[in-house]
Amino acid sequence: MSESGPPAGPRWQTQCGIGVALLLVAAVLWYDAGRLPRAPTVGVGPAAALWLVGGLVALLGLAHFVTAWRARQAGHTHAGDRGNHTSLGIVLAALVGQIVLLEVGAGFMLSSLWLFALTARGFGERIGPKLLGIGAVLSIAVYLFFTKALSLALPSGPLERLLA
Amino acid sequence: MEVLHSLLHGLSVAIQPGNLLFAGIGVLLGTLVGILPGISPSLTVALLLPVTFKLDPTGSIIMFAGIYFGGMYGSSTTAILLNTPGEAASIATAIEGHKMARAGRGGPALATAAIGSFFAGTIATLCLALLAPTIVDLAVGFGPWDYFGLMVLAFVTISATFGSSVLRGITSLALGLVLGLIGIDKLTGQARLAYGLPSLLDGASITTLAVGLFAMGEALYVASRFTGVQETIEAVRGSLWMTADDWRRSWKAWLRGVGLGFPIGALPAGGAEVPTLLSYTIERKLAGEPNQFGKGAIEGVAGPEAANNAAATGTLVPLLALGLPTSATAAMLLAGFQQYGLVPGPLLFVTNTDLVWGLIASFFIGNLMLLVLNLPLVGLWVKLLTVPQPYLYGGILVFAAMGTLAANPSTFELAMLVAFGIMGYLMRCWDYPLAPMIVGLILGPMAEGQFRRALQISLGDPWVFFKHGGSATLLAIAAFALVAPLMFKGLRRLKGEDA
Repeated sequence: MSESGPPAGPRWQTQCGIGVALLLVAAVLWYDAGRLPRAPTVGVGPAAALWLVGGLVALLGLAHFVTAWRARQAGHTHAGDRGNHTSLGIVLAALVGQIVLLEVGAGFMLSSLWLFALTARGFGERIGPKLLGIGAVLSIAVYLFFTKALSLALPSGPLERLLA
Repeated sequence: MEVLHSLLHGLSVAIQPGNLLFAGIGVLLGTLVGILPGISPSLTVALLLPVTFKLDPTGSIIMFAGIYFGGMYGSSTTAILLNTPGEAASIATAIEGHKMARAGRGGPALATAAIGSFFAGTIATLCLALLAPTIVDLAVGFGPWDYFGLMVLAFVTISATFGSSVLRGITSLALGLVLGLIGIDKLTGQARLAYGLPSLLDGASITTLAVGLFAMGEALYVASRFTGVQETIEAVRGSLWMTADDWRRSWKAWLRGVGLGFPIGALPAGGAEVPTLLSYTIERKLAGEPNQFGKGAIEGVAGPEAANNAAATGTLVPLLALGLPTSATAAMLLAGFQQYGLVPGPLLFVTNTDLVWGLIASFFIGNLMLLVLNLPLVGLWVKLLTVPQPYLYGGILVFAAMGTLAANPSTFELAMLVAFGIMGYLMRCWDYPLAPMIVGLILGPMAEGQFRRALQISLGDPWVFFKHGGSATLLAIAAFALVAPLMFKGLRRLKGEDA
């Protein structure tokens, strides 16, 4: 399992981090397996799969340390490109904001409008009447289509109650 | 003859006006969404899953298949005109097709892709109709140990054999397996990894994972690479029709594409990536003028597109006959079945004859509709490519959130969606494949069930998997498929070629 050449795979520090994370996941699985009652008399119980998959994950975690070591030997220490953190941050804020808005009962349309507008902002669009207009039309259309035509329930807030 | 009879019966189901309508809506929606840049067929299916929630099973599954095929036709249009392959299977199409479009031969490129897909889809559906009943007959004699062996084999081939890194592929698979363990154990009713959270008792939803990994992950990844430069779309200039020379060069490539695509797709070998790239390489080797490759050779579009469509149909053989999804899209189709409590596999051919054969017959109809829909109307679809990126991704995220909320109206589910999105983003950054994780989530619990059933029957004897010829062979092949890429890598390094 060798990752040769810098472009393939993450740099060695990241690989170590992934290895640690995998070992943690394995520990969680094993902890849960130990908590379950003993296996039935015939065959294996629900804990067996936890032990097995936990073992696999732990093994993969260790393998990540090995490849990290090799990547370090190969001098793979720098991440490729740093990327655009501003855009990424704005889109993440859009997603988290939508959850918060739904949680406080703002309803589907308002939170969708927020998600749409802020995501577009992340992709370089200026927030203005045009963007908000398109977002509003989209949110209302999607809401009406899914609640009226397909009769699926979407979270409702003040705006949705006006339409109902 | 029995097959022919079943197929005719299926056709009579598929051409009922209601089902025709569903097929039509499916291909239309699939094309519409699939043509949007950066959206792969599997994502198309995942995003549109909630649209089919409230329909009757047969119509809904037919619509679903339409979405699947429509998404594939749409993706090839995007690959040709925008050079944005929505998925690995369209990379070959993007290489040659986009060059053709830039040289003013976008029309023939689109035509050979569409006609080739139609041709391949039709032949592959026939093969599916012939092959599936045989496999069903075979599968009736399968014990749980055989199923377990088959699933282990699928795990290995999907995650390890054909990817760029065995370790990263298996890690992705293992994460899917871990997610599959969350929730109530189906045999004993005990909660695993739920930590008293009621929302976790039902387990992780496949749709949420797929939409999170593909849609959210993709949006976050594109945002993180955002530079403010819009990609340029090649207008379709000149004739849409293929010349006699184009036909002469295409038809053999289509045939070879089907020959590669269907068998590889039907084996549990992980989807359409391998056959399309193989087809591209072979066409390049066989071409009369190999120097045209890389500059817009029509064979390089015709072969891979046919292989792609044939492989997609091929993956339906293990899905329908064994209930075994071997690609991300097949996993999404399985999720579509599961929302109606239907379990694909040998039994389905007996209990839901109408549905199975109606579905298979509807592939013919869907492909025909797509051919009609795509060629004359391509100018209309191209307009969709001009949707500005900010609106496109804003819309994708709204739709993704809506789909998740429609399936399960809770902010917890939405938070899981975002968590999976961040996971998908990181996996993209670090070059971990996404499909094994989805297959792990859907196949993991099934494999566990078979594993435990086998041990119950054998009274706890763990050697049961090696005492039966079928499962022993399958596990041996799986072990070989796991070790082979590592061995080849080792050999290459010994020869000093692995610089």
